[in-house]
Amino acid sequence: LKVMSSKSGLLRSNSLAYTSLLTFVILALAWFVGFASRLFAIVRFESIIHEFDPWFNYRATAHMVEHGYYNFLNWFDERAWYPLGRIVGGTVYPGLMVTSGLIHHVLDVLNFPVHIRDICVFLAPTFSGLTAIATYFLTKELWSAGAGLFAACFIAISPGYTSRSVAGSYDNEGIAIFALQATYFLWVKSVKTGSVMWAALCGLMYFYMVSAWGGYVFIINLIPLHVLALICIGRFSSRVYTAYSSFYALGTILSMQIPFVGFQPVRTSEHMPALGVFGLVQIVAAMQYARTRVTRAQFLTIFIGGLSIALGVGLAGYLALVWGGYVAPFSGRFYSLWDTGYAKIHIPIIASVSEHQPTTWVSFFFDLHITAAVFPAGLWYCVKNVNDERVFIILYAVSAVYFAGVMVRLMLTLTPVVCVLAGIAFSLTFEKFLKNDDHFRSNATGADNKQYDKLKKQKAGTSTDGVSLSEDPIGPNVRSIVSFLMSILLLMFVVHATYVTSNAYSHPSVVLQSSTSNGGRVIMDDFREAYHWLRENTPDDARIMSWWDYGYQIAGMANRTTLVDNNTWNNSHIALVGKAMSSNESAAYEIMRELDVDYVLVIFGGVIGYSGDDINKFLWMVRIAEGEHPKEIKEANYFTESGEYSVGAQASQTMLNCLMYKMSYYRFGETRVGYNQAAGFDRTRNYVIGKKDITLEHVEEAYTTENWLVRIYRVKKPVNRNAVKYTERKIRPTGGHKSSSTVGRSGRKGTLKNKAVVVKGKRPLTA
Amino acid sequence: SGKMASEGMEAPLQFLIPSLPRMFVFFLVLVSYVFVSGGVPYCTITGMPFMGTAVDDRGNQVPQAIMPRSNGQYLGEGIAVGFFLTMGGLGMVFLDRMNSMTNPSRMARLFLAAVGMACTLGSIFAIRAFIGKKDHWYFKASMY
Repeated sequence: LKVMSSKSGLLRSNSLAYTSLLTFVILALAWFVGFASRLFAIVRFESIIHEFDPWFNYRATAHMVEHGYYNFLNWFDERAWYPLGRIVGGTVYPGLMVTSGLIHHVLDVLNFPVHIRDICVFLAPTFSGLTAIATYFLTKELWSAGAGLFAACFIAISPGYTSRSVAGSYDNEGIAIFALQATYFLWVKSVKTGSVMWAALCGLMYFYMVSAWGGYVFIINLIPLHVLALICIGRFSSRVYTAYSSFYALGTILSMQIPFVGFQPVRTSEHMPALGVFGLVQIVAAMQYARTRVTRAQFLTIFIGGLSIALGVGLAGYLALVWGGYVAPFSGRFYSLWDTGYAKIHIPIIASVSEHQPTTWVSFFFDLHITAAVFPAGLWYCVKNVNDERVFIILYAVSAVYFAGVMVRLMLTLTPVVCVLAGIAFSLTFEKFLKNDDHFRSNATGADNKQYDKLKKQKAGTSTDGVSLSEDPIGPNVRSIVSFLMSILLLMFVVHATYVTSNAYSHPSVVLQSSTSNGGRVIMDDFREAYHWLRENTPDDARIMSWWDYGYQIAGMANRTTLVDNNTWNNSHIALVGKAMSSNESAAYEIMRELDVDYVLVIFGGVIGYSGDDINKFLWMVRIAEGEHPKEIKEANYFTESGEYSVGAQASQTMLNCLMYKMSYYRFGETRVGYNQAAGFDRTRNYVIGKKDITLEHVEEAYTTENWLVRIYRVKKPVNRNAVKYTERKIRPTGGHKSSSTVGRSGRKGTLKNKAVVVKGKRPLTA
Repeated sequence: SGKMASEGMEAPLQFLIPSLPRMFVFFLVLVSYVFVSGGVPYCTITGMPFMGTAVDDRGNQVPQAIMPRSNGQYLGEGIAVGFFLTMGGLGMVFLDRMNSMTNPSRMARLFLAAVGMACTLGSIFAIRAFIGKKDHWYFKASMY
């Protein structure tokens, strides 16, 4: 017996060592796999920044690295939003730039210089590994270490997260999901322990989250909701009180240190629930304190009276502040999550972004695969064995599912909770189905013991005895089959995740790829060709007008001043550009002269069949312009008679004469896209265009790229003398007789009328 | 003292707020998950019909259940897929029920295990069939 116990003691300490080694190895592998699966675009092409927003982040980071942190915070960018400029320091979330800058600085100090572009490109894959580790800790707090490992492995490769954090996608979400999971882990830990230290750490991590992403509003509404739910179902305790009070006080003050956030936590409606719950928590704790000191009847009156007065005063105060203008009502972006039709009518810019459309089931399946299917099972386990922290994950899951259904972009916030719950479900199932023999032996011995005790009384006992003994052959088989099939599910997930990441989410949108019929790859690098042309062949202070999608790329790659860019903070300026694009050439020329524009850039996909070009986006330009200038631009004028949108033969005259049409199709009427196509056949729209002979009056073509994708036009300077059109000239009749009007009263030509006559000796007559 | 006081707090608060049974709340969440994961908000907001129509080779209008593009969907296919996704989760719940049954017969154990595995695995294969109609590259494209 002694030997047995010492052996089991050795085994126990060894098993702890094995467990920690296994945990470390699995997490390291998850980090490595997450990093590697995001590298498809880099391996296939090269290490550049993708898409649009990351270019601005990269430019800001480069500026910070070059000029220092305080110059970055005070940076006023006069090369964007000409002539308004943009206060970058106050309108950006600096967490991303500071993180890259810090890593760059540390590596520099260690004499290991890495170009800032490479750091920016590889930041998101690195942080995905950290996210996996944070998810492991979160799930370990919620359930067990085994579930944590499952969840970490799920989130390392889950396509919902990978799509926003591939290498080259240098955007806020890459680090924000890590900060989100870490904040939630620290919150759960502080609710479990009730210690001020964990709550303070949670507040610090919340500060990092606020500096990283605008989605921090989700955290500051979910945590108060959790506290409110705990109060409502009667799980309020001193731990929750300590955790929430410390977190709210510290977190709010820290979040106000970010210049972009400023005083928003006390001034906007999105932060009011947190403040309200803070007050409520104090009241509830006070009641709890009073409860032990007064009689029950007194307590009930104090409670109900106090609570109703507090709620009434709070609600009235909030409404008064909103009516008085001190507290802003819900901003458009967040209000459109509740009232989904709001954005389309009032703020067309929000509605036009493709990421803000509601979600189809294809996104759910592609981004989550089996974790979306298994997620209700995890929710079931949490509901069955509920405690304080599982209430949190249930609330997170329900709210995230709703928001993800309403907006595609928010699938990203659903992915972590789905991975956590799927990890819990798989871990529990495997736990029950992999442990074959112990379970049955303990059952059988238990049954045997019962039988021996009550042998005389139960006759039916023998039948149950027989059944439990004969279960043994079936049990292990069924269990191993189930385990095997579960492993098949997990393998399918891994294959799907890698496949989707490789094929769907690894496109550097700066470069277009397509495959020829015999499998070769054709790369169309038109964007960079055009931006390089701009960089080399235009003066340094040239102003480029284009639609706002391309603003950041032009500023980043071509290094020129732009009029509007992806920040979209000034709707009227964008509407002006939209009006210029949709008016006829002379009206557009006036606007362009006012705005000091030198070059205009349009994207045209008709030669290669690119469907994201400006003609396909044109209706949004019209709508946005109509929002600001309803008298000059009317959307209905741009449709055909039957009400469809077309640039073909039936297009309306307004459409055929607008600047966008002219610039897209200049000289296109003479070209053929293929040997068997008619001249002027547009491959994207699949018909021949309406007006083929286009003459440009105020702009001239400066550059068109190889596949006609980007077309740059130079705005001509105004002529020195106003030329009069041939049909409008007025001819003075020449010939014999002089008309009397040219001869003044003084008589002859060449004399001044009313000239003062000087007679010596007399004063001159002033007529 | 924290726990005792919280028990005392239960009575007056649950006085004000009716406490719903847990399983009822879970059932509501499950039903809403069927609709949300099936993309019903998308169909409601963009006004998609239950089923669409397509023209076949001879020029007749035939009903079309699955929209061949992957950036849109009909209501019917959405609810079907949402149902399959939830069934996948319920399959694992069945497996859990099978394990926590106290005195099961061999038939009941086997049956629940089979149903559970069929639900979980079958849901994924069913949804793959739907995907085949929408995204042709999913089964064809090679990893180049």
